[in-house]
Amino acid sequence: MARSIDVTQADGDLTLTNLTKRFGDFTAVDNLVLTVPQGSFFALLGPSGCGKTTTLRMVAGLEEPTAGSIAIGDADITYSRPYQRPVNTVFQNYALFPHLDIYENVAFGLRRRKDAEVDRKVKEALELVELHHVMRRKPGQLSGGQQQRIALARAIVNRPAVLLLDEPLGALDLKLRRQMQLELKRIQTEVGITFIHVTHDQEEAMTMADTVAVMNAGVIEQMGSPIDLYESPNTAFVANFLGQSNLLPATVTGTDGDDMLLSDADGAFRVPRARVAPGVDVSAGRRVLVGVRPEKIHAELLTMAGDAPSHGNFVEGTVASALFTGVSTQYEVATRGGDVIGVFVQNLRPGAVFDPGTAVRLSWDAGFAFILDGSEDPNAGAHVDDEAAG
Amino acid sequence: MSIAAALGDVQRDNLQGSPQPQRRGRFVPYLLMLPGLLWLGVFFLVPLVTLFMMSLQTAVPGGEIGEYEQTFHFANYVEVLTDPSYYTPLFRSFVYAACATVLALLIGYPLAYFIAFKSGRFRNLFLIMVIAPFFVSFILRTIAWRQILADEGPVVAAMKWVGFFSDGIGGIYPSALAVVLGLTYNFLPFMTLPIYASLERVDPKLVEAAGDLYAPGFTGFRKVTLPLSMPGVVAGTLLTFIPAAGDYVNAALLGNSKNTMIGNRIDYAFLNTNDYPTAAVLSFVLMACILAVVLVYVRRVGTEDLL
Repeated sequence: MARSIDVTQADGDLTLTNLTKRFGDFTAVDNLVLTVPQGSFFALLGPSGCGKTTTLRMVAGLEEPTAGSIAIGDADITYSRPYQRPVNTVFQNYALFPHLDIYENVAFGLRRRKDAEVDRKVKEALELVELHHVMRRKPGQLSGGQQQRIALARAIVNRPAVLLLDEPLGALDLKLRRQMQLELKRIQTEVGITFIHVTHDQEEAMTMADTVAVMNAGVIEQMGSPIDLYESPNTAFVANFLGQSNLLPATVTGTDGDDMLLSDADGAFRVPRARVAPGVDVSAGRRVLVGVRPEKIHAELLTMAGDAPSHGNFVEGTVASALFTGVSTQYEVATRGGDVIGVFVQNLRPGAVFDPGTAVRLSWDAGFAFILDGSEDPNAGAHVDDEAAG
Repeated sequence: MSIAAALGDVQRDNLQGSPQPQRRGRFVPYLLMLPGLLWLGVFFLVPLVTLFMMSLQTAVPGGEIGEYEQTFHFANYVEVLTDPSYYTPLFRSFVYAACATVLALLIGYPLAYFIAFKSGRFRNLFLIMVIAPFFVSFILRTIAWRQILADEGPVVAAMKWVGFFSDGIGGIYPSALAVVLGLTYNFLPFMTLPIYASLERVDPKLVEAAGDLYAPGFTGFRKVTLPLSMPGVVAGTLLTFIPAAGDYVNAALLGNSKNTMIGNRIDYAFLNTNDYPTAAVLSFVLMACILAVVLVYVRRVGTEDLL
């Protein structure tokens, strides 16, 4: 790679072009095209085995791509050695050096590069993660959360153009994980380095990242801001993997102004044309999936409900199960047409929980639904393995 | 009512029951230590005391050769320590043992590294190969080295072919080199296995992390893998050096009279001249010297795990 640009000083957007990695017959990453803007907090989200860790390892230089290229700004780093790239990694389970104290762990990269200001930079990095008081301790004497922050400091102190985080919070308990999510976000904003965060935890990805790419089977299913992905999923996999969705098979019956009209065994629905996922054929007679998030659905006792709402978008059924979770109650409602719809009702008033067997009417605002391709499996991504990726 | 009563009973039972396991628990650690203490007592302490008592014995006046009575003749130690004929073999023992330890480390470390990181699915096979020589008697294997190092043997032939030895002059057996090679060979597994054990525990992620932090290849090895394998290196060198310093089989089988080690002198005193007190004194002198060397070594290398 004879290039005039010094890759170690490369800076700018990270660009993956047609990146492919095969292990024998298995394609882990399939023709990936991706641009991560400089200074953004980017999350690669997906179930284990989806190719996200392989992608990360290729960017880190720990794995060589089968095809395609990786560039930071104008510098091609596809075949650069890991230590030549302006990329550092926060490893899963941290990989702190157990024989060195915290100070020396953080100083490790600087010392190898013969940095002139090791002491100042190490202390700054430890200040940043608020752990300057433990610098003479060994990693084994630190808690999991502290080790995590030291791993972060050890990588950030080298001021890479891109910082890779491989399931960084996977080993922490829930409370600590929440706290570290805020902490990571604060640090990223403070240092302005591009963070690429690999995780299987959708909550973690959504709370921290500016942009989330949902990966499945080696390809990116959808990419966008957390709100975009959640409110307007393009595929059944994204709809189910990020949160939960009710995906009801329905047939397009026609249009009414800006709205699509649809029907299924439970009745007629109306969804704005703008809520149709890109590329989905919605000509009359086509089978599609109508998606509604459980928390967007309003449930009321059928006996107390007035006349059926004129806008459509309602179904009637009986409560099959009720799960009280404190903040909300999660119902499964069996509709007359044979679907099962999940509904989350916020517990605004105490004691207002419907018992199983209660007849209810469910309704939702037309603008809250979305339309996906009818050929998709409505359960795709709903029950994927929740364990950390290998 | 009945539930509350039942709960009350359970609680009372628990209260009564709890001190008992605690009282029994106080003796459990000592009981568990008992087999180890017994082992140490029978196989270490008793022989050591016996040997020490023997080192203070004196010959029965007018008795037969090898007939001694128990006295507390500490002058035995003065006698041995002031006899210059023991100095050279003692010194030689430490030089040979040190050379063999260094050689075994130079061979054993790469071997252990290879088995731990590069052998893949053949790892167990290689480990068995390291241990396999133990299935043949120590003496037999050492005698086999006579054949290997003999003037007509393959090593000398190869060296002549390379031009290292000219015809007529030169040879390896018997010599100091042959003794050191024999010691190296015989104690190599004791060097390799502890190093392997500590290398095997080094997380490959740490090596990856070192590569990520600008310490690829050999730098990463020097800064991460090597320090983390030091407990194994210390254990391996001790397991090689200590028995090698006291060894006499290699010097007897692969050396000549100019390669006598202190072990050979102890052996000679015990079995040929039946001078048991002198042999016992020599054993204690050797033990003290080894202890001193080991203490200095461990202090210098400074692994927290050992001291």
